[in-house]
This record gives sequence, structure tokens and C-alpha cells, in this order.
Amino acid sequence: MIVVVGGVKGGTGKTTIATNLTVMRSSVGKKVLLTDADEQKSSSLFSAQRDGLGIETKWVTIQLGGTDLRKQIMRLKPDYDDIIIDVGGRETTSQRSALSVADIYILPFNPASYDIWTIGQVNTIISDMKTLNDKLKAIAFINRADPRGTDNEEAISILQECKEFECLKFTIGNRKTFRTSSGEGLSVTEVKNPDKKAVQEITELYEYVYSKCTV
Amino acid sequence: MVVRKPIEKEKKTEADFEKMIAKGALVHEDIKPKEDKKNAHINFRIPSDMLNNVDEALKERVGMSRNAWILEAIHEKLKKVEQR
Repeated sequence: MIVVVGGVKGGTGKTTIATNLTVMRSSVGKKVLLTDADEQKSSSLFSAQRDGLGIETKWVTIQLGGTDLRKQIMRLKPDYDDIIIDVGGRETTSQRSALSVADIYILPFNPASYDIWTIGQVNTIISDMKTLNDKLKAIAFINRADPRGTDNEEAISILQECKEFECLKFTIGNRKTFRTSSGEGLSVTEVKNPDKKAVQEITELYEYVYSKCTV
Repeated sequence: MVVRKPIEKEKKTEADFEKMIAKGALVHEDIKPKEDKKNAHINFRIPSDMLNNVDEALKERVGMSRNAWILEAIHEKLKKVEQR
């Protein structure tokens, strides 16, 4: 299955989601290709950090981008059980190219107006790419959710009005462990004394993507 | 007549994909010269304040060279000319 973690807003936590899903997917024995299609190359840095610290890395990380990404992924697809593509927070040829071959498009949104205002642009990309890739399923969720207040619920209710993607009801909180674990080259599920809530939240997303969205 | 051939789904060509993908902004990989392409060298003059603006814009494109940024700008301009 090919999963793209994207959107058109920077700083929504795309790389954190992509790397955590990669670790979790490969830990159950799946042969995973993590494709870094973001110019910031943060996913590659995560894998490099892990290698540098001598932690076992069961997946393969490559950097691809631009219009050719589509052809390269189609060529690599038979060699892997799962491909996870981390695209940057801009509407680029890389993002569109990835969506032309994707099964699932994961859209993390922060519960803030600037993030929610990108809905129109995201809708256009999805509807464009669905004309060519009719198997594409887009899901959005609130990432870095606020611990209190009504912003999360308000953002969810706006996202749920969109017809191009499904908005998930669960959220992933703005938890420190997501930041600290990546620095250690680990997923939140691998750290010593894991934050149970963070593990539960990322597992909920993982289960949704790899069980309920199975193609 | 009640027996008809099934309607064939319109086949999507690689050109259809390329056209849709090209709606996105170009990235470094789109503009870097292919190994088999020869590069031409030119003398290029640019007002220093414009160059400062380029360098400022470059800060948002981590890992991109100044040369690649200028090439991208030329690509975008050529694309507009082609669409006229």
C-alpha cells in the first residue's frame, strides 16, 4: 500500500507522522520504503540519526522528488509491502506525483485558522488527482491537538464539512515525546517509558490506515 | 437493440498524468540538469539588491542552490510563455 503524508502547510507534523508509521509498520515485519520527497529532507535525517546511533533500521529510506517520482515509485512498488511518502508542505510536482500512485493520502491539520484555511487548496489537489487515480482515499485528522479548549472540536467540525476527504474523529495531541523521540531516532512507541497517550493516539491512526483503509 | 457492448473506461495516458502533476510547483529534481544534457555557461549580471532578494527567498527552500532557484524561475517563465 502506498501512503502519502502531505498537505500544503508547513509545520503540521507530516514527518513525525510519516516516520512513526514507518517504524511501526516495519516492526511488524513489513518491508517498508520510506520516501523522502520533502526538500527539507527531515525523514532522511531521522533515518540517518537512527543509523548513526546504531539503532536497527528495518526499512529503506530514499530521496525522490519532482515529476519523475511517479515513475520511480511504480518501479519500486513490487519490491516492498508498503511505501510511505513524506512530501513537503507545498503544492509541488512531488506531492501531485506521489498522489498519482497513492492509495491513502494522510492530511495532518493543526487546530488553527491558518491551517484550516488551506482546505480549499487541498480539495483542489485531491479532486484533480482523483480524476486520474480513482482509488485515492484522503483522510484528515487534527495533529498537535490542544490539551484543552474548543479549538480541536471546531477544527474537526469544519474539516468534516469537506467532501474530498474524510475527517477522523480522533486527534493526536501536542505531546513532547513526539519531538524528543525523533531526536533520538526513535518512534514514540520505542522510547524508554513511553507516553501511553501518545502511543495510543499514533496506534489509533496506524490501525485506521492499515486495517480500515486496507486495499 | 437491447444488447450492447460495455462502455469502455476512458484510458488515462502518461501524458494526462504529467499534465496534472505539472500543476504543482517545480522542485529541485524537476530542474536539475540531466546527466546527458550539456550545460551552457553564460555571464549573467543581476542587480545586487535583486540577488539579496533571491538569497532571502532561498532561505525558505532548504537545500536548494542559488543556481537551481534561478533555473526554477526561468522554467516557470518558459512554462507561462508556452501556455500563451
